[in-house]
Amino acid sequence: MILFRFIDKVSPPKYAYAHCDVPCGIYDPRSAQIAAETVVKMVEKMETLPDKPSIADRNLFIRATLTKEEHARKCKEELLILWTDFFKIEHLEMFPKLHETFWKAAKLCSKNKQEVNMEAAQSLKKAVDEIAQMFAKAKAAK
Amino acid sequence: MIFKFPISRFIIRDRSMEPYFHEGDHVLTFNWKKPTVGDVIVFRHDGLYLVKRIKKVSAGKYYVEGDNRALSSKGMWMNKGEVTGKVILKY
Repeated sequence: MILFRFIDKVSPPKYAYAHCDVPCGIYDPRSAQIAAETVVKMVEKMETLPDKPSIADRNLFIRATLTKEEHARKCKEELLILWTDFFKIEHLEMFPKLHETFWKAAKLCSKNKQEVNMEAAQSLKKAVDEIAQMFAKAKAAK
Repeated sequence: MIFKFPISRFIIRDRSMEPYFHEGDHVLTFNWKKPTVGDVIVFRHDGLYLVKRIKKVSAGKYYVEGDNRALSSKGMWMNKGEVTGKVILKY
């Protein structure tokens, strides 16, 4: 240990950030995209269950419902972080409909919690992909 | 093939890995073994070295989170290729 500390004095180590919620410039829309894709998958599973479900089918339905709920919530959470922490006032010039896009996507997260609706699930995925594209353009412009 | 040094030294910044790692801790990573779920890793992302714990592995990516859930509310997916090494020692 003493040896490593001596080496650190001669050749200082790099910093490894534990990354708390202090804005340190690290964002990624991929988590929101994965959450939205999961919502689509769960709706797919729920819509293909038979009319007379077995115990196993009902178990699957319940689990899919819980997973849909969790990932719609997570999607909203990730979108909120991007909206409030990553995008700045100057991005409004690049994306005049930025607030509306995020607001609609957040509304779709709620709708997908409330309903089993493939159209709503696909709309959420599309909205999140649109936000990911805005994110990529904003990053490229930095 | 780029040579990867077997060990690396880092100093922890921020508090999102408490209680196991605190601000100012010196850590050593071992870089030659593939990490797995539960391991604390240092990885490079957007020009910074980050330290997090692996929670899930899927399709060539790791999902990582901070241990201090009160301070680190969000995790992230990162590529396996971004891993520097697994934290093996605090000194």
